[in-house]
Amino acid sequence: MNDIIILAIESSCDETSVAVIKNGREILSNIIYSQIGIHKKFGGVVPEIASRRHIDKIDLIVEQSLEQSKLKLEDMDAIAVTYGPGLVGALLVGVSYSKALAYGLQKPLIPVNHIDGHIAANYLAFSDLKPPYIALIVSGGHTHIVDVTDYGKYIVLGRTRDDAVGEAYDKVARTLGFGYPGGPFIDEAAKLGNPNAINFPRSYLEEGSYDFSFSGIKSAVLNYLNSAKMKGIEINKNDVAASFQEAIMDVLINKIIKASLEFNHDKIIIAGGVAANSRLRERLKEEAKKHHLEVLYPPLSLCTDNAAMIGSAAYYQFKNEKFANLELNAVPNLKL
Amino acid sequence: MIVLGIDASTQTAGVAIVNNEMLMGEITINTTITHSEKLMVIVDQLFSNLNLKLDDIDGIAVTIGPGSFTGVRIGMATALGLAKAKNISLAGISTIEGLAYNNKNYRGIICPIQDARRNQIYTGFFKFEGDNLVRLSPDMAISIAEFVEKANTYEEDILLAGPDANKFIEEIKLKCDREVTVSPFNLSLPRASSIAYLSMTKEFGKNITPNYVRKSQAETSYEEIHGKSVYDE
Repeated sequence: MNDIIILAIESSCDETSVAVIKNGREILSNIIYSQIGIHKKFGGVVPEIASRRHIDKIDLIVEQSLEQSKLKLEDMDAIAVTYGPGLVGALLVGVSYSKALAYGLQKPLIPVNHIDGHIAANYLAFSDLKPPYIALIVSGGHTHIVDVTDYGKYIVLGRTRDDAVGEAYDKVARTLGFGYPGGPFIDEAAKLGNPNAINFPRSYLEEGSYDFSFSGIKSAVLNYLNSAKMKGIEINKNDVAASFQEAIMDVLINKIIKASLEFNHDKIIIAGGVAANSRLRERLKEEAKKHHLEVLYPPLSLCTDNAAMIGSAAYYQFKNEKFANLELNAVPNLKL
Repeated sequence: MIVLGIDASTQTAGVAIVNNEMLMGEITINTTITHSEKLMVIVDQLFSNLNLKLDDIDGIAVTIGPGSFTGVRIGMATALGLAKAKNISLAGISTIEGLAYNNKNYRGIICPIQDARRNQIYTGFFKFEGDNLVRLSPDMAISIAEFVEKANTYEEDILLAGPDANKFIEEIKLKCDREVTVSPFNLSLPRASSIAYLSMTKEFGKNITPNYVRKSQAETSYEEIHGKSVYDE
């Protein structure tokens, strides 16, 4: 069988990324231009600034990615692009560019769901990984538990009803006076704190539900900090970070283990930016071991947004000829 | 030289193919359907109607604003993607200048007007000298009062051009101390053919840069609070 080479473009949030991927598994190039330096100053991603950066950079990043892959545009079998979920203005840069590029090259255009991409990041990291398995997708925008039955085929078992887990991290980090994004700061501070110092609420929702809710714990942390301030009690930020993180982890780990057991999976994969969290990795491994489950997570570079994962997901769509036409639009709230 | 003109910087989406002085074909759509859904469709329609291919195109001209921020980027991203596919040179053209160019027979000052919201208009001052459109000011986002003040510094009569000219004509007429008219309706929409024609007087290259004229609100408020640009160290 001939090799399938896909050029993939990702611009759903604050990373402009372009990758060239061979057969869905091999990264020939993966250039990521991160705008985080600018958005840090605002304590979060500013959509208009993100969109402006994407249009300034996209052509250059395509060029760099092709250079690194040592291939030419003519060598591509298809162009892939993230069309949602994400920031609409940001998505539209990648979508408009990709449609025109694919049209000009007369190659198929593959529309990829960003969350699908996060899951597929694991195919790049583990060459033997095949569905079925269970996936926990945790990032600044997403929190999902998904039963992956085949390539690109999912049964969503649960999702957050309010904040994404990364969003809760960002908000708590901001109140603690940490930087943005909050995840790495809280993770570091938590290592120095006592996870049992403060008993923040764990929201498991109804019996048997795999959904999440993180707005309650976020408010609990804010209330704790406010009341400590009013009473003039000095707080230990490391303890707050560790206790907050522990409460989050208890819920995430409880649900993903339960889902694996209920749906008879022996493999758990974690995907998304929060997959980089050291406490999540450590505790999930520990718990999984007790139940003889295997845990896989991609390297840090493939946890955060990148186009390589989009190119991997696109490969399996290519095989099923799931292509887009010229009317493809960005879908900011695209569901899995 | 065969030039493909593209404009998506206002509510109108347009494409045109121009061979030197001759307009080969043009499609203009003025609806509220998103540009993202229609722009590439009309590009494709125009090519197939004219029985041309992207390979036949020597240059792509695209509007770079001012206008709808998102619209500007859809047009530019489309132009960049097409250009990349066939290694075609690009020219970025001001939306305001394109609107002025529509009114080639007018012998006074031409001021295109786009409603920029927040009590401002996007505009600029232009004048034809023979067949050449001469730019008298940069593109600006200013209030009507500021506009009138600038307009009154010119000797000639003034033509308000562009899709939003009618919205502001009465107010401007009241305050301007000279003859002010509005360009004919058939010349008031942005035209991709004007963009393509205008590009023939410009340099083509590999890069195009948007000209939003206005900063994003986040950048402006950051500057107000911190007294420096968000891009400063």
